[in-house]
Amino acid sequence: MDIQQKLMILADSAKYDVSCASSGTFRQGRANTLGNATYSGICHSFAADGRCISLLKILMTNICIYDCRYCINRRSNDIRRTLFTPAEIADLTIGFYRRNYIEGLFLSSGIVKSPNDTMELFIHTLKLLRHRYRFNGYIHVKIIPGASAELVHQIGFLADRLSVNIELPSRQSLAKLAPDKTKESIIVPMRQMAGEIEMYKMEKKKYRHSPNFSPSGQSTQMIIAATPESDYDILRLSEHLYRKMNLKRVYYSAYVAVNHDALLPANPRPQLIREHRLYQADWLLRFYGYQSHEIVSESHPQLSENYDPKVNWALHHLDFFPIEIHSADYEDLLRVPGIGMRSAQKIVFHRRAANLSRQDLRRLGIVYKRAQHFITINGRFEGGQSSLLHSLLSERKIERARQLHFDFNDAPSAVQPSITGEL
Amino acid sequence: MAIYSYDGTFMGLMSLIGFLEDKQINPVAICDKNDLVTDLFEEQEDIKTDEKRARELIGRIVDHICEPAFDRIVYGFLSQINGFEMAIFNYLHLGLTAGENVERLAGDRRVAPLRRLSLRVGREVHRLKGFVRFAQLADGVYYAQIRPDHDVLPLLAPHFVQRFADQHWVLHDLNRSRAAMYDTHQCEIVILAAADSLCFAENESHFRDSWRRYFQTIAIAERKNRRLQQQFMPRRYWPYLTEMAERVR
Repeated sequence: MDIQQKLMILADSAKYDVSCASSGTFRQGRANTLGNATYSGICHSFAADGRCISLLKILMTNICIYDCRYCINRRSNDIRRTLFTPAEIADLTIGFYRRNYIEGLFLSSGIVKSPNDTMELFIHTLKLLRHRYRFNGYIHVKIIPGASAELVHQIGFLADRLSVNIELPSRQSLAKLAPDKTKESIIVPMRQMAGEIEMYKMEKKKYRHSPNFSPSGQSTQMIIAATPESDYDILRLSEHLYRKMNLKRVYYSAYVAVNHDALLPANPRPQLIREHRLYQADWLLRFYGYQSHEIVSESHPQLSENYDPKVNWALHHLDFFPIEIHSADYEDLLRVPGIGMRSAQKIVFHRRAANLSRQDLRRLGIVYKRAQHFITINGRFEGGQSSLLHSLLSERKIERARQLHFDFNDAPSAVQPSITGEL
Repeated sequence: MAIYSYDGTFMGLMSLIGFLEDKQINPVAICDKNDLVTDLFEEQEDIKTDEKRARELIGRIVDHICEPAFDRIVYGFLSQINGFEMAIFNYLHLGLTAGENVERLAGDRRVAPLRRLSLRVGREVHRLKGFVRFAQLADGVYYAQIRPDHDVLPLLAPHFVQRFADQHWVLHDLNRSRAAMYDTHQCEIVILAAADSLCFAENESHFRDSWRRYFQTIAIAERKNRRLQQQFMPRRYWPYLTEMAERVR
């Protein structure tokens, strides 16, 4: 079998892994070496499904001793099997990288012989790339569940990011669908990596030349909608992973029916909207200061399909709004639908030098159409009129907004302005 | 009040704006003297490039405004979009009195136009960092063609100098017939006309075909979304993307 056929088989088997991030590491290029890493990451292309291609995402092999129900490479499937040698992978990676096709390598694998044997193959490949080819670009490598602590430790110095897939959101589902993997075989390396990443980061602060251990952190992935867990279960797990394990990313992958199996749902289309809502909620957990119980609860365990979780929260907490754009804390600005992280930062930055108008907000990239219902500008409230939201805003709310009116000209005459010149 | 012209170079524009600031003149328009058309109603004056005056102004920008302001001006200059000179002049005119606060006045009409231009250039540079495709020629040099909207070579070249420190490469802007050339020691931008035909290295087709096959394989058929693809990767880049171009150039 020639390289190109192998590539097609092993890329085809790797495509269900979601991660393509190449961000989080900054490494300067040096004379006589190839490659660097940029902090923001770079997308090199976009596949027909609209997903970014940033890394050469391939399996070492699709031969596997495990029989996970949801996986296309499970032992019991009758598919063509093949295996890359470390040299072949290194050669392709370098060839692609030099042509600026990719930002680096994402290496995963089926399990040959044993988890440790597979990990040894990874280490061999990475050493070849880092030492022989002096490759300085981005490398993300999967940790095989059940791999020994020593091998996890070794590979951390060769890669930019490590990840071990949690696969399914609960122990029961894992036992049912991935009988060869135990929760411990996943959690143990995850905890070890969390510890080592933290430790070497501290070292680095003290000693400039101490080695980097997976400098871009660790991530994981779970399959959505193959098992009965609710969004509440999923988000609580994610929150735990972010807060306790210090994960950089949790990826969600809407289940795509690749196998016919009695234990799996036979839904013809992947649940993309649910996946999308989970990502939105995930962002709220990581960047917007929300707790999972604010987004979903035991009594409302599913995310709304119609509203994004942030709007949903806002509509249920109307007494929190409107907030004044010129004085609200950054954390409160983040809660306004239509104001994202960047916009909130810009508001805080720009309001120090100038009084912001509605036009200014628009220019800064705020979605004013949405935000207007939740903010006041210099005490003036412009939302709520002739829109659906008007009915959602309580009378008391509107009254308060009117009272804060600075522009007395078109303030309803019935309302006595409560703000006087003394202010 | 008059129309002022300069020689089209960045230093030329800096000299001109330095001159206007010194003399406290508000110009009607600023333009490249090569594009100047005789105007019957306005006075015209050409200002010669004065390296010393230009450097003085740049020093003032960095010291009295801030370094990001200087970057913004450079990006605005490289946009080469009609009216960029006045956008830079207005921004600087305010900046030299307002100091670093000028960066906090995104909504101001003297600031907003330059911001818009520089953001456009910044976006194109970032996109091209991903979308440039090199092909190895028979003599071992990696060669890439682009047709950017803006004059991004000076911003793009340092990225590839970092990245491909150990290889010879040429990045060719076909729209402007200029190229950044790097020989593992030095990078320079030279005038270069498009070649009639290129002679590729022996294994070039292997990598090119491998990449195309990889590109086709990696998409998940059940999630096909061509619109999303095109939104992230606009059509105008396709002719120079190995994986999207119909045939080999």
